[in-house]
Amino acid sequence: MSSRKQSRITNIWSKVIKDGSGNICTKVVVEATSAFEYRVSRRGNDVILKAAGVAANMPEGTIEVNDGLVRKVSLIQTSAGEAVFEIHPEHPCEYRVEAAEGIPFRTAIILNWAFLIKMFKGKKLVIDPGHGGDDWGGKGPVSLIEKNVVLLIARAVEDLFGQVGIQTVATRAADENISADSRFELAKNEKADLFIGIHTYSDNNSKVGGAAVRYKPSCKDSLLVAGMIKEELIQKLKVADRGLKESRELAVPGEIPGVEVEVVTITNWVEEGLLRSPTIHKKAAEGIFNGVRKYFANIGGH
Amino acid sequence: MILGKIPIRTHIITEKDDMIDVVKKYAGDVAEPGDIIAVAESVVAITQGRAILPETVKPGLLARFLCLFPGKDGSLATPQAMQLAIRESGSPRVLLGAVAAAFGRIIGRRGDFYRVAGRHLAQIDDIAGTMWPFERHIILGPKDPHKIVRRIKIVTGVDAVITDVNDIKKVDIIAASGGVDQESLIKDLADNPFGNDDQQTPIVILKMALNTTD
Ligand SMILES: [Zn+2]
Repeated sequence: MSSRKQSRITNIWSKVIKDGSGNICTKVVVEATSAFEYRVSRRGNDVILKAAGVAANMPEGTIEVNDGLVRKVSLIQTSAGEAVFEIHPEHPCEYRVEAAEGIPFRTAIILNWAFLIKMFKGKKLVIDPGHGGDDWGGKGPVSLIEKNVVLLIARAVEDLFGQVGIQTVATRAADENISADSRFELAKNEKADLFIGIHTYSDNNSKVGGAAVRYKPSCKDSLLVAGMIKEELIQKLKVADRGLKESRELAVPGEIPGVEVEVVTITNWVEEGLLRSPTIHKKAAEGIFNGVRKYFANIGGH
Repeated sequence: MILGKIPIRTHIITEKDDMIDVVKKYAGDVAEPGDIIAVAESVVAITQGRAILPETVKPGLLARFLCLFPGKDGSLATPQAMQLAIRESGSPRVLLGAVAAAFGRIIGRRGDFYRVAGRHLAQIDDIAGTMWPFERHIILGPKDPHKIVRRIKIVTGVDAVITDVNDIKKVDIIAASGGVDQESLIKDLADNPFGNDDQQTPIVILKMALNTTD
């Protein structure tokens, strides 16, 4: 019954990486106190790793990943000394397993993003950080100003899309005055697949909080992508759902879908606090990225 | 000599947990005498009920005024967090700290606010959007950290520290049991093995080589 002989599973984490050949991958790492034996199998997109000679030191259950390819990872101790890891990708992908000696002993399952990269090929987005210059947008109860925070979030959004080969064009990169018309015109001139405005919501009541997405009327795809962005954003930020709203001012020309994301509510003093954190800018960007990814996967058939 | 660092994933720690029980449960079969068990200060504070919902804090005039002054490394930026700082140190001390910081600025010196108002105020984590389900909370520093590391040592037989580590390579040892070489520990923790979200791996075990005499 000596527990010393068994390898103890201490942690699971994941990260999006570029592998040796420059391919984007999700790397899921299982950390344990020593080496263990395993068998890997496939069930649909899922990758299943059965391990022997192990004990779960960490809690069993599911870890949400939501990085774009992998939805979640789970660990179940099936019997004394045996455990099963399940990795749930949302898209088809190839995988490989690498083990690395060390303390802790690391077993990495590396899942390739090739399917997504192919889907994203040739896509172009216009990213519009709202307001700028004399137009400050909303203002937080302490000190934050919408035109400044949306610029930081927009940069995080551009970084994420750029990493997977989606071209982004920003309507502004600094604190400058830009007319609404020229923002929308840019989408037309660039022949963009999608226009995404980045905003925060403002309310007279400082207790009101949450995220919402406004969408261009007269365009079914705008509503579709708005819903997907809102769902994924709330999943990441865990703020209140303020719903989807039609916006007549969102006059993106032609058939180009357009949305404006109200990431959080800047006039809420807790959410103003959230907006100070770079972690929140990154999470907001991940939510927007996941919504857009789902949208492209959804319309991919036509 | 350090051999490796093992981040320990736990369940989501709340005020219903006892930190000593948590360490015993998750580190007991991994750490051995000679190792060091490092515990994140924010999670210790959470078990002590020191994660405060900002909605329950009524900031007074002084807190509203003081939080307008930047240069506190992003901490104490909300009036609610400043109010809690005043509750911890008393308004005269916080006010003196603010005055000292103002003078410090003139002569280009940093850190005067916390030096005067209380170093423990630097452990207050303002609303940060991490540490779910406490991402909307203000988290105060832990109470009686020295007592906790001593109890961990007694219960597990392994040396323990409570630390505040962030991703800008800033390591604070808040409390350490007797056998810990703090200087080399600060180096060992500089890469933040806790990650950016203390709730996932609130404990890190530093595995040490046995029989080293240096
Ligand atoms: Zn706006």
